[in-house]
This record gives sequence, C-alpha cells and structure tokens, in this order.
Amino acid sequence: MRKLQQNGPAKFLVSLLMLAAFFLAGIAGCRLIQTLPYMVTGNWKDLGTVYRAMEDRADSVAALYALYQDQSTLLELEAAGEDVEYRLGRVDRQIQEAEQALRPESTWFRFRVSDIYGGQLDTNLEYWDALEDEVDLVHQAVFTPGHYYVEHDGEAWLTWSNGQTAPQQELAASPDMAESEDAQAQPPLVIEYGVAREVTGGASDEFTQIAEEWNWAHLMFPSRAKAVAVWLTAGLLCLLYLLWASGHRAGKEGIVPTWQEKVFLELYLAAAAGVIFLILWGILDLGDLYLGYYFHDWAPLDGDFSVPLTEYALAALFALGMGTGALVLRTVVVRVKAGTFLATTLLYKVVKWMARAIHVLLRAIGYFIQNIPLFWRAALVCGGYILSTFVFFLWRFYHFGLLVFLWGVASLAVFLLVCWWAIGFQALRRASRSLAAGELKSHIETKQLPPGLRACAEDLNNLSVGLQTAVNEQMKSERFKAELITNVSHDLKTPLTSIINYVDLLKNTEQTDQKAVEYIEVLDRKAQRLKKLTEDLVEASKASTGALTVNREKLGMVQLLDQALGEYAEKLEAQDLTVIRTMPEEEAYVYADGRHLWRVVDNLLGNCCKYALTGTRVYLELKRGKGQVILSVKNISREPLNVPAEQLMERFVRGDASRTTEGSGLGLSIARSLTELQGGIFELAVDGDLFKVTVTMPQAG
Amino acid sequence: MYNILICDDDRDIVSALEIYLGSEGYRTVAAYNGRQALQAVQEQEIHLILMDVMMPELDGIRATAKLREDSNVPIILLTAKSEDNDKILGLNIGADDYITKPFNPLEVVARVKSQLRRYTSLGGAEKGPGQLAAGPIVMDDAAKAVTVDGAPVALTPIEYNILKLLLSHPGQVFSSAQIYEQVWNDPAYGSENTVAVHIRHLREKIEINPAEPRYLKVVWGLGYKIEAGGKK
Repeated sequence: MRKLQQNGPAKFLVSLLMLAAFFLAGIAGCRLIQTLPYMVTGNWKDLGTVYRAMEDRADSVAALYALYQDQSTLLELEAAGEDVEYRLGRVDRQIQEAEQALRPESTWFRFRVSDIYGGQLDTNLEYWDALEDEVDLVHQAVFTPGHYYVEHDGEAWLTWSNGQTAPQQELAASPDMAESEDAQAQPPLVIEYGVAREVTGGASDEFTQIAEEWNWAHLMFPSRAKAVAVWLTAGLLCLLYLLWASGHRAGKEGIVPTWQEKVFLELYLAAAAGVIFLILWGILDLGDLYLGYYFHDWAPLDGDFSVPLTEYALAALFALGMGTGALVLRTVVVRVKAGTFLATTLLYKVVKWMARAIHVLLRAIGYFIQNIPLFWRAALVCGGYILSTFVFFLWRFYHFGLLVFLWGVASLAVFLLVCWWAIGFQALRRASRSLAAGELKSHIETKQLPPGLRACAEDLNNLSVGLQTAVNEQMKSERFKAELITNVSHDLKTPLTSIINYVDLLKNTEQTDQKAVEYIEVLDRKAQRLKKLTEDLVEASKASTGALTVNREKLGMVQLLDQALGEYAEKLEAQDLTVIRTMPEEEAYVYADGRHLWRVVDNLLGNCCKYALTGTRVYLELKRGKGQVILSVKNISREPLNVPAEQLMERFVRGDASRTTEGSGLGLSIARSLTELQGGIFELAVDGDLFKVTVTMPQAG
Repeated sequence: MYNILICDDDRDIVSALEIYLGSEGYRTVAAYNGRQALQAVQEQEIHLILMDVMMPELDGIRATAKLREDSNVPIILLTAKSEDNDKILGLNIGADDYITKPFNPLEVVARVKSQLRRYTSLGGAEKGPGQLAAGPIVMDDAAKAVTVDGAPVALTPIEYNILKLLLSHPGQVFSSAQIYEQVWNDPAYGSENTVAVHIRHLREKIEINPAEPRYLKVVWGLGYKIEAGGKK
C-alpha cells in the first residue's frame, strides 16, 4: 500500500492513462452525440428532416405546375409567331428533369394532385387510390398554379390518415377559398402526399438516406454509450488512485506538499477556472462546427478528412479539461491530507493578518497605557469621566438620546472598573494578611485581577512560595537533626546500660583485692557521670535544635517556684544555702511549657547547689511588669569566675577551669535554649563573684 | 516461681538482667528480638515480659501490640530513646510500665516485683468498700493504712491527709495553696513551700523512682495530682 502510494513512475503512468482514457471517452462521446438526434424518435419517419424533405418535394410538384403554365404561355406566344424556341427548350428540359425526379423509379415520395372539385390531375402512383395503401400518413396542401411553393401553413395544411374521406369537397365548399378573387382567376390545386411505407429496394433518394442514417444510429448507439461509460469509468478510477496516492513521495513519511500546495488555493482555483473556461469555449466552438457537419450541411459521414480531426481536437480538449479538474482536485486533497487546507487559503491569510494587526494594535495601546504611571492612569480615567459628564450636562438640552446613552455607558464602565479594583484589592489584602499570619500556602488567583494589582499579587505569590520553600527546608533539616539525636542517644545509651549494670554486678561480687574495690568505685562514679553527661548532651541538642515539642499553657510562676524549692529543700540545706524569696502576693501567670520551665529552674537551682559558696544566701526574685514576668537568681560563686558571662552559656564551659566538680557544663546552655524555645529571654551577668541569671517570660492573661 | 521473659537485642543487657532477676529467685527466658519473644510466649508460661523498644525484625512496640491481642501478661518496656512520644505510644498500645535506659538495676527489680504483685495476687480491681485506690496505691481510711502493691507504707498524718485529698479526686490538679488550706485548715500565706516538701517525701515513699513518678505527679506551675491509671 505504502509502496503504491509512494511510487512516482506509477503515478506518472496512471496520469497518462487517465488522460488517454478521457481522450478516448471524448472521442466516444463525439460519436455518441452524432447518434443522439436520431435517437429521439422510435420511427425514422417522425424525424423533422423527413417532414422537411417531404415539403421540399411538394414544393417541387408546385414548381412543376408553374413550369407547365410557363410552357403553355410560351406555346401560345409561339403560335402567335414569337421566337421563344430557346426559352421553350429550356422549360421543356426543366419539366423533363422535374418529372424524372418525381417518377416512382427515382423517389419514394408519393403524391397526387387534384383540383378543388375533385378532378384528378396528376400522380406518380400506380393508380389514384393507391396513396392510402402505400403511405402511412397522408399530408395535404394547397397551391396555386404559377406559384413555386406549396402553402404549408394556415388551414390549407392538412393531413389525414388512412380510412378518412378526402376533404376536397369541403375544401371546395369553404367560402373563403371559393370566393377569393385569386381562386376565381386561378383555382387552387390540392396536393396530397407522403412517403412510401418501405424505402428499400429500388429508388435511392433522400428518404433512403435518412432511413439508413436512422438505422445506423440506432445500431451504433448502445456500443458507443458503453464505450463512453467504460472510458469515463477508467479515467475516474485512475483519478481516484491519483487522489489516494497524492501527496506521498518515495522514501518520505507523511504528506509532502509541492509548489502547487504553496500557491493560495483561490489563485489556483482561479487559474484552473480560466483554463477550463478557455477549453469550454473551444469545445463549444468546435462542437458547433462538428455538429454542423451532421445536422446543418448534410455533409457525408465519412470522406471529409476534417471530421475525425475535429473529433480528436474535441476529445483532446475534453481530456485537458478533465486533467485540469483532476489537478484542482489533487491539490485540494493534498491540502486536506496535510491539514493545510485552511492555512493555504488567501481568505484565511487575510483574516489572520487582520487579526494579527488588531492584536498588535491592542498590544501597542496596552503598552502605551501600561507605561503611564498608575497615578496618571487613574487621573486620566477619572478626568475623562468628569469631562464626559461635563459635556453631557452642557449638551443634554440639545441632543438628548445618544448622549444620555453614552453617558450611561461611561458611568457603568467606571462603576464596574471601580468594583473590579475594589474586589481585587480586597483579595490582595486578605492574602497578604493571611501571609503575615503565617499561612504560607495562601495563593492569590491573579487571573481576575486588574493589571496593576495583578503584578502586586504575583509578587506576593512569589514571596509566599519562597517563604514556603525556606520553611520546608528548615523543617526537613530539623526533622533530620531530631532523628539523628534520637539515634545517637540510643547508640550511646545501650552500651552505657551494660557498663553501669556490670559495674554494679562487680561491686556486688566479693573482692579480695582492696585495690580492685577502689578501681570499681572509680568505674562506678565515672559511669554515673557518663550517664548524666549523655542525658544532658541529648537534652541540650534537642533544646538547641528545637527538636522538642512545646505545649504552652497558662501556669503560675510562683507555684512552680514553690514546687521547685520543695524539690530542692534538702539539697540546699545540705550546702547550707539560705534562699531569700521575693515574690508578688498575687500569682504571676506565664505562658509556658511546665516541664521545660521546670528544667530551667531545676538547672538554675542545681547550679546554685553545685557552684555557690557554702553558707551564703541565694536571692530568688520574681517581678511582674510590661507584660513580662522576670525571675532572677543571684548567688555567690564558690570559685572565682574567670570566664566572661557570655562564654558561661557556651556548651561545656564551666565556672571552674579545672573541671573537678560534677556537672556536664551543659546546664546553662540547656536552660537558655529551653527558655528561648518558650519565647523567653535568658540573661547572665557576672560581677566579681556575684552570679546572676535573669529569665524573662511573657506574661499570660 | 515466676517466668520472666527478657527481650533485648543487646545480649549483654539480657544476661545482666538475667543475673539480677535470677538472684531475686525468678526464672528467666531470653529472647533477642520481637519474633523470638512471641515464640517464647507461645512455648511456655510467661508471667512478665521486659521488652526493648528498638529491636531488629520486630520492634518492641509491634511485639507488644501483637501480644496484647490475646494476653494480658504484664509488659515493661525498656526504652533508650527516652522520647515522650515513645513512652506514650508504648503505654497506649498496652504496655504496663516503662524503664528508660540506662537503668538502675534496682529500679528494674522493683518494677518487676510491683507488676508481678499486681498481676498475680491482687488481680484487677482491688478497691474494697471504704477504700481509695489509684494503681497499686490503696488507702483504707477506716484503718488509716496505706499499701502500695500490697506492701504497707508508713506515712505521717500530713502526708496521709495530702494523699487522701488527692486520692479522693483522681486526675484533679490541686495547687499548693489549695492543698495547704484543705490539709492545714489555714489560709496559705507564702508557706506553700512546705507542701512541696511534704509531697516530695510522700513521693519517695510510694513511688519506685521519685524523680520519675508514675502516680503522684507534679504538674509544674499548677500543682499536684494523682493519676489513677498510673499511665503517662
């Protein structure tokens, strides 16, 4: 299939075949047309040409009678002694010729002539009454002797069929005929005539010829019609193949347009129409000539060399016309196949150009408007509106209808514009507010917004997307950190569990060596310290990375400090530390997570126990004000604080450089992280040996 | 003679626990992942399970859920993650108690004893007439006696009254001032500190690990409460 479609030579061959088929169909058509005039009657005698031939014969009978009259006139003149011999001879010759032509041996024309009273004058029949036997249809006509023509028209033209009575008497009795002056001077004669039933065998005249032609046409018609049908079908089949294969080319996929498909379809059609018009013109002209051979000039069927030549020319023109039509069809089909039918029409191009021009124009106007600053744009619209209103009021007395309408339209437009802006602005405000509230997923639909606000909305959208990505990134990294801490904590704690357990088991076993007991004691101490360190480390990491859940609620700071002091009562007493509390009478409520806040206070009091100078006072003060609750813890350091306050909060930094005391050095760091996690501020001040911590928490309700 | 299943992927921890529990007179069965634990429960009678959370093949949480489908044997989770979420999840899924790693062997033994006592001798609802109870703590107001897991506890009158106040309103949080006013029958003026000290002593008497109380809970900044189920 594909091969057949892409076969170039085959296509060329089929095109030639198609032209040949149409050429042959043209020739067959010409021949068919020859037979057509004979095909209209079932009997050759009904042909118009037969009638005309009979009339001519009747005329020749009338002419014969005129010649008879001439002869008798000439004979009278001769008798009178005039020399008319030459003229007489000529008339005699003419009479002889005419009589000869009318003899039954030379023609199948049958006639009889009588006067209006029924007097039998002349006939070429065997006997007078044989006319009705020999002829199918009897025609009757009247002529005046001396006139060369039969009066064919008018009431004198009569025909009757066999079995009817001859109307001579009626004719003679008719008043206008009998009473006419002419009739009294020269009584008219009646001629009755027809064509013999059989025109074969014997005489050969024009009737024989017409009958032969009629027979020939009827004989040839079916085969010629068949030939036309066959060649036309063949040509159309070729055309179908060509259309099916059109647009394909050897070795190429899809439809390959040629230059013909690049020409505008309208131009192509116009050119083709011109060519076809010329061809049609030629066909009509030549056809007229061609048919003339047969039906006007009585040219013989054969023998004239120009007849076949005309046929060839006509057929060639027909084939050319069909070929042109095929070309048009081909290009249309290829265009449809390639999907460029619309695109290659001039109309489409023109419409497209116009659309583009309008688009460019609108763009230019839009660009112009866009480049006017927003203020001037607004001013222009408002100014235009005010001006139009002014004009309206100025002219409203003179022209009412149209101006009111225009003013109404302008008002409506301004109203809608203002509404549009207001709605857009509202959407923008809502979106920016929700963005400010932390809803990063809020997205503004920019399509419906006015151009000025749209840019703003797009900026906001971009901002929200950027923020969202940043937040997502941060959350991801925090989740990762939290997971890492959990896993590290697990991996550290599992071996530590075994160490602590087995040291404990060792402690419980009987030891003979005193040194071993000492060593086990050291191991136990260090294992416990390692445990504390690990726990603090995990907690510090969690607090500083924010991998902790914070459930904030309203709680009492005074209550919490009471509870904490209760927990630490024994430990403080053991260090001989006195707590001086300064607290408000009313409960100071803060917004915090109780467990985290406890850890902060826990660490602070723990620090006091660990690092405060024995026998001193610890000042615990709680203050309220400006929406904040401030807790301060002051104590005197046991060791000189040789570290700056800031550094004390760093991880693993402790007040004693030698690091002999218990503690991980993470307490303050954890406390600060936890405070900040709950939205508080953790501050540290060192003044000589005075160590002061201030925790500021937001006040609740 | 109780059979205790110890399940942990760290064999050293398992053998240490076997030594501790063995010395207390318990028979121990070892398992090194959740699947083995399930198998061991099928094969023999187990009275208590110590189960690690992070284990290969089948972790402790899933194994606990699986066990709870057809058994109410006490399960104590050993967790190294020390994440609050893990504890809550474990208790919700059906564990009876939890111990965080690294643990104190004595605490493990105490918790095992407590769970076994509740599981075997006391049964489910141990609250008699005229008695107040929360978890293993039972207070007989007529006899003015308090027992934890059946063992008598000696309390001072103030401690007794605080416990009675909290026990009669399980789950309710009392602030230090409220407790003071109700127990001492005096308006509280800055002496709430003493309440905290008493509660701490009380906690030391009735809780296995006072730093991580299961029943008498400190609600920081709000007060104290008794948690009836002993959960959280």
